[in-house]
Amino acid sequence: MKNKKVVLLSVVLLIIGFIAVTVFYQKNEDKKIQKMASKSSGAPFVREHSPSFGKNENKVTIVEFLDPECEACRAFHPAIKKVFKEYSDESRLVVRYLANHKNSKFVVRLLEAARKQGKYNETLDVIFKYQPKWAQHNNPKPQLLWDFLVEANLDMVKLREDFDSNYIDGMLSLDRADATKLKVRGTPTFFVNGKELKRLSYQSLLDLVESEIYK
Amino acid sequence: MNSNNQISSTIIFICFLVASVATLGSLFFSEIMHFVPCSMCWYQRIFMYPLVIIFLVNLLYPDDKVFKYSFSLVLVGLFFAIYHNLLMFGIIPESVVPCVQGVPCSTVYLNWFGFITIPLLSLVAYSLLFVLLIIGKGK
Repeated sequence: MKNKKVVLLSVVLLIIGFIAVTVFYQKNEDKKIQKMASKSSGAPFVREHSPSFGKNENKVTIVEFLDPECEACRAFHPAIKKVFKEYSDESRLVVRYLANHKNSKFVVRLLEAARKQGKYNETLDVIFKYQPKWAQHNNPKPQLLWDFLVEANLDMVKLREDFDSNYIDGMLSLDRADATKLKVRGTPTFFVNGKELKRLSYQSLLDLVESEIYK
Repeated sequence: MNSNNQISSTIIFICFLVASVATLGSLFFSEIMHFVPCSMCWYQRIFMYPLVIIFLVNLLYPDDKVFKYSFSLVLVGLFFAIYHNLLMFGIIPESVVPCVQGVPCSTVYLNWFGFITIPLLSLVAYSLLFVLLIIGKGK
């Protein structure tokens, strides 16, 4: 039956068509997002309230959408630390929050309180270190963090005070709105100068950062 | 060669194209555009996806039995599509939407020209298949 050739050809064409439309659509989406990165204010990638580190001599902004209760964020934490250690003069690291888990908000509040003491990164390290303990799936005990955080050399009295007085709802909702705008669906999601990191690996992050620094 | 029971391969071929476009289209919405499918959408997918294979196999190895397999799937899918569209147009109130979690089935993701929604596309696909198979069978 000669029609079989037509049938098989149409199968191939359908698949090619699907791939072509997909590639076109994704290129288009990437372009839209990168266009947003050209604004001088940095929004919606960067907001004034966001924790920001690094000297940024080469104007390379690494944005991380982070959730302290997210296991993938914990797993990827050493990688981003390593990359940023290398290039903290050339770039800056901006942290945005996506409080997707039950106790994320509580932990973000702790983090933000610790930030007032200039101990943000130390605190984040401790939070991730003990994440399996305080964020057990069936039995999360975020209150344990008060004990663990002693390790970060924080002034615990001041931490309590700042924790009680800081209201992060506005910050979280703006972060979430920006994440939606940037089509961020999960954590961790990275953007380097508006370019999304497509594969979560140390090497791809390093490559992306270096490609922006040595442009 | 064609017995009276056999649906012409042209009609099956068109059916195959309709089912393929519906399948790939729904995958594009969920996997590429990241629309979260509601449970109604899942039921319509369940009855659409196998049709691609059924029509394809029949095109490659024709027999006269394709109608009973494909039409039964189309009929169930069509029922879900009609029901879903009634939900979308608000004819059935949302309180009886049988979605337990996730996205409510009356969520409008897409609205081309003011009336083309994803459930409507599904209804169109199922209706086309329904009509095509009836025509093919009637001949």
